[in-house]
Amino acid sequence: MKPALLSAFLLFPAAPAYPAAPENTAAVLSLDSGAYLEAFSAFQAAYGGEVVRYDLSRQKPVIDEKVKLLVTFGGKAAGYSYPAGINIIYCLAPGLSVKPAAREAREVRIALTPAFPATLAKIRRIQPGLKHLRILWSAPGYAPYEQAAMEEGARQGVQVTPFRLEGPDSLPGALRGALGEADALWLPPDPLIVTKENLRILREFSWDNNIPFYGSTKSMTREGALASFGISFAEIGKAAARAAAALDRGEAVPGTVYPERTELTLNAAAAKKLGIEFPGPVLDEAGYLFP
Amino acid sequence: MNKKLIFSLAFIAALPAPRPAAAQDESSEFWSFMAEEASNLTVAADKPETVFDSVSNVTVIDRTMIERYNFASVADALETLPGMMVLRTYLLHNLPTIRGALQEHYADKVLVMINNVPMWNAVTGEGDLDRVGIDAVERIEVLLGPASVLYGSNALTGAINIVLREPAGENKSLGLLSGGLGSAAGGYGGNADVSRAGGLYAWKGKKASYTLAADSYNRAQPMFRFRDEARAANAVKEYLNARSFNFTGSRGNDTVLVNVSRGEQNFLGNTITLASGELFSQVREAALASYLHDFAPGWGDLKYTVTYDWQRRNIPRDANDNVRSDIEGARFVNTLSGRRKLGKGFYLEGGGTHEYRHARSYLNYYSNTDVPVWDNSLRDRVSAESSAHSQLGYESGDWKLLAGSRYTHNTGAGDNLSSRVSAVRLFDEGHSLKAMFSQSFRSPTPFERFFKPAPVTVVGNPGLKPEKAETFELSCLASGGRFFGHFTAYHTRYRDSIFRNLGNFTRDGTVYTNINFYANAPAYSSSGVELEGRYESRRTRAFAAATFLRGSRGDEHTIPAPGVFGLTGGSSWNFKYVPAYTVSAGFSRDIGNFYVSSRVTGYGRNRSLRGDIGSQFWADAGAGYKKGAVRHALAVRNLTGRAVMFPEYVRQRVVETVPLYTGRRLEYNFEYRF
Repeated sequence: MKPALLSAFLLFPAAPAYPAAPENTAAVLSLDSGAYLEAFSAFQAAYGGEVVRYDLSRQKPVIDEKVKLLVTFGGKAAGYSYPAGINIIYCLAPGLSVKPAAREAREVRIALTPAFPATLAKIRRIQPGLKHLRILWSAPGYAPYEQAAMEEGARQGVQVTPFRLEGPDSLPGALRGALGEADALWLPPDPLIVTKENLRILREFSWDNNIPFYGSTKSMTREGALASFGISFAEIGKAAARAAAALDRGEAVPGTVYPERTELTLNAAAAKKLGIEFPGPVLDEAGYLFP
Repeated sequence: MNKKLIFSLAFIAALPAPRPAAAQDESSEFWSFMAEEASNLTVAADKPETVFDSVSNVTVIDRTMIERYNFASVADALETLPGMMVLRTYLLHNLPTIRGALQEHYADKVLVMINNVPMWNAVTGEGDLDRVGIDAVERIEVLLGPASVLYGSNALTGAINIVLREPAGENKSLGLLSGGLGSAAGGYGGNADVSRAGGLYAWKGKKASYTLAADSYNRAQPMFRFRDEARAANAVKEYLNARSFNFTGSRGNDTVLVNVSRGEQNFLGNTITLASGELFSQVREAALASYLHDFAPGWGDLKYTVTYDWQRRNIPRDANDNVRSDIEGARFVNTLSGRRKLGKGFYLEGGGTHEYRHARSYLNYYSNTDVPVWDNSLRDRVSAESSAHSQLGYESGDWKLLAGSRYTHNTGAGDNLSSRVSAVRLFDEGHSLKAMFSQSFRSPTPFERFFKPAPVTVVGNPGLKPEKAETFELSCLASGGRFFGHFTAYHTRYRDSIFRNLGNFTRDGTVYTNINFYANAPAYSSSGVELEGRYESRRTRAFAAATFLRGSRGDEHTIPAPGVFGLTGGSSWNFKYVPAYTVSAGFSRDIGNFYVSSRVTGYGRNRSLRGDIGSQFWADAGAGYKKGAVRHALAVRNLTGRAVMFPEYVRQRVVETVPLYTGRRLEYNFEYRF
């Protein structure tokens, strides 16, 4: 069993369980393995009971009439057509563009990243002189957050410029355009542009031009991002459990839920290349420092 | 395979990332998650392909390469690719030639497109590489091998797609002013004439974009002493000028493309005699308008394209420029194509095309009075071609499979069925193996079928059948770090090739003796290997390409003695005139704000009708300065100044060789971006 998955199984039974109604809840996974299963396992452990799950890669889900809440794991699961009237919590759907008007019941999205104000604040702690931050994105699901990101930037005294890439191939051109216009780049977990190859290009661009790039997962830091401020798959599952319990109780839940526990990872080699010294408190806070 | 996407690749994106020494499970889980989500977000038709997983043999010249090597034209850039030569006949310059399949005065075996819209002359069939100036080009995509299932007639040996520039992203604009001076440029005898001038403005928003470009390009070869078929010698100075205007705009689901161009070039005479048109300007004019609507249905992809392509060519026919030929025609094309995912990795593509071709005229006339002399039997020849194609594809993580056919009915040349089968094994993102079989065809043009001038120099053959090609290819691609390698081995069989024969020919009851006429050749074949290597780092770029090919003599035919100067005849076949070896290599390096580059091209020993031609090499060297919005570039073309010769393979009488390049040239270019 993979270490992360094993951790999820071992740790989350000990995690606090929320009052839940598992018999009225079902889960649909894009794939019954990997990140999806890890997040689901954490969800189930935190939710406090066995939840019926469907593997969309093997079968079409037959949703029982008594099911009032669905938790989806993955974009494919999120995009599936479900009966009206069922509350849905979307997890691990980074490019999902939710259309609220299309459904009668509640829809909640569990974010894959910390809230942008927190991310920006974290970046500013590492790079206090930051003036211009360019966000590279491509998947439609990120479009609604453009304006809010720019406004938050204005609040924090940073000019934030979201820049939409047409696809993975357009990254080199976009980076050329960033020269002289941005003094840092941030990459959300956008599946359309987050590839190993693009991270290599970003790393070389970043290190050659002294423009730090920040990621949003530990894996991005491993591939050369100066730092990432992210959320683990298990934490996403736990956040989904909290949201599910709240919905079960009929409580108000925001449209987007940001998981509570975040993880800061740092890359020492990138810092050296860029001539940046991590402040002591940042080092103390870091969950992992790649050499 | 979607037409637009087959070429959608960028070399830089093809290079794989260095892998971590010990990838951890947590990391691989993340990358699996990203890949799964990407596949869910991207409908198959929009997936960008790389050279590694394309189901065709494709390669690309990107904008960076164009700038670093100071390519002056599309033709200039193309000759660096393995399997590609840019040749000339005594009548026409810049004929793209793929894998040694020679073309005579009409480059009609290679399909040329702008932004995936085919363009070619309805009378004579040739595409024109000079319809877009190099400053307006974002990249040039080349498909080697038969491609009729994708593109129909004319993609007999391959296809070239010229992609126009556009801004790097949304809410961006790109403005450009460029110009240049060249030694002996312009064809008017000056020593430092304007060799290039152009402007471009492009803008892209969220739902709309446009690109507007105008270019002028003048290239003149240094003076060259040429001995013609009458053994008359004179100084010849050849030039090629091209002006083009391009507009492409899209809004929502609608895209428009407009291309207008005018080119002038002189040549070595209609019959390689300096008394048959040399020094006078041959004019090519064209106008193309295309509209595409993407229906964007929920079930997949459905597009409708309508294109009108008008072309005119005007050729002087004698030493006094007294008689000229005016060749005019147009094509009107409607295409509906779609793609639907079938689930479990399968998808289906299909479509239909109807093309109306009007060969309006090939009129000889007195240039001073416009009085017609002869219509060459090519007045208002109309033909139509309809085709339907279907392809079934399968994609999994490791495999891509594709099989499909196109059925074509041509009102003048009968029916054709071309098919293709491709299998791609992806070992990882930087290693793949491809096996491909593809067929193609080309319907004979009205010129090849009906041409009959007075006096008779060459006669069309109404009984011509479409020419066909089929290729088996095995291709291996690998990259590691900054290196990329591409090896291809192929075997091509040509059937019913349309060529200009020489001998006795009967048409409409008239017997023509010792005359040039069009005929279908017996089957022949060629086998070859192509090797391409590239290196790319932030400051240094290099490439090397080499090809070896060997062709059969299945199409060998007798060439009678010309009956002058005691010359003998001989025998001729396509691959007699194709060098077995070709090489090209280039290097560029940035040094601060400066950069230097050099490239060399070579053709191995070759043969003309009666003799041998030694190896031919030519090299360019350049240097540039780039800072901020300004770029300056200085280039020396054909560094050694030696004439580069190629066999005269069309007329095959007295003259044995024609010059590709005649001497050294110096060019200076600048570019200002705003």
